[in-house]
Amino acid sequence: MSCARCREWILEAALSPDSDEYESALRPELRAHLADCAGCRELLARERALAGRIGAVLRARVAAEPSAAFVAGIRERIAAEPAATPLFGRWQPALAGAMVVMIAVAVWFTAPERVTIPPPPPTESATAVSVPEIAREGNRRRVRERPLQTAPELWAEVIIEPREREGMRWLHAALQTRASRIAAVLAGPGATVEDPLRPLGFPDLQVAPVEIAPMQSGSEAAGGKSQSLEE
Amino acid sequence: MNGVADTCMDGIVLTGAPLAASLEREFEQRLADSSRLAFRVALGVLRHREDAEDVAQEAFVRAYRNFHRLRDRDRFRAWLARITWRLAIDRLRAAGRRARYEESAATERTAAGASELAQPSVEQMEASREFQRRLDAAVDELPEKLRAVVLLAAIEGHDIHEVARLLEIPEGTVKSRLHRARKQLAEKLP
Repeated sequence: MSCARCREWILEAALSPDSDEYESALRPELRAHLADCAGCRELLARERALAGRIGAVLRARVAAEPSAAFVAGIRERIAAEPAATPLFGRWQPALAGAMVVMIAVAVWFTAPERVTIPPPPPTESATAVSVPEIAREGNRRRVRERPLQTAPELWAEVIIEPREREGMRWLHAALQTRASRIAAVLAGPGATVEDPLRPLGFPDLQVAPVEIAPMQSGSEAAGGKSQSLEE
Repeated sequence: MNGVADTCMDGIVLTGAPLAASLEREFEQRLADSSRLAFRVALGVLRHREDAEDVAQEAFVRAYRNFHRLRDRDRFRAWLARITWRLAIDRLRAAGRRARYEESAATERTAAGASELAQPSVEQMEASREFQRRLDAAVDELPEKLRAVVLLAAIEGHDIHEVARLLEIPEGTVKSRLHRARKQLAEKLP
């Protein structure tokens, strides 16, 4: 038998759980080899000593006795246990039902709401205003009044880039000026126009900042930077 | 021990039935038989006497709360050992405990270990302490199944049969786990 083969057996034997198996694990071939090989005998002794030390330390780890007050402490703790009161007692089903109702109500009120905005009713000013119109009747021309059809009062939301915003302001201001002049002409000389823009449907320009999260990837997106269009 | 609640294992109170008098007496008997086992199981995991006593006492309280549910009373020791083991593992995992155990274990068990390991010369004591420290660390690193087998087998009077009974696994499984555990321990020791 080779020393390598013998070594495997020695290690297996030393690791056997109890002493009976430990002895029986020493096979006859191993015994014969050990009789002739001092090196393997030394290895076996070393492994036995190691197994013994491991066993001794493990036994020492759990060998202590509990203190004299240990059992008394158990009885004390058990005696100190609070008297049994089931969780919420007999009201438990009622409380559970109430919680279900509360959750349902909370879900009802917090659910996203679909909002429909009806179109605005026609305003009186839209039909009261008329504009002069030149009509041809054969070779003759005649000036007649035509009721002004105003555009429906709709608000448009437009997202404008910062560099174009000044241009939009200028355009809006120009349209406002023109509309004021037209309204003044339509109203006639000496008349006052309270809301000159209303007949022509030019609402005030309102600029509100818009937060747009830029399309980013990976770590940039994690940074969460957003770009405001408002200067 | 009157008026104690019935609880499930995680401690939530379910009903309020106290133990009957006959069960009280039986539990008293079990307590006398198994208190040392619970303490030693906890000590094997925690390596700290006070904490081991605390955990073992808590395990008994939980066992008491559920004692009437245990149909096979012969399984009490195995049941108690498992409750204790679980509580001890939870305690061990609590933050900052391990360092404390490392310190206390070295001073607490040197005398016990040295008396069995070596002659009490200074060098040997030091070597013994170092060996013990390494072995403790190696045991703590074992997978839970292997650690349970090793520690239960190390308790005085426990053979393969008893360990198998406590863990409710076949004896062959105990042997193979014990073998694997010792092999892993031996590989980590000088």
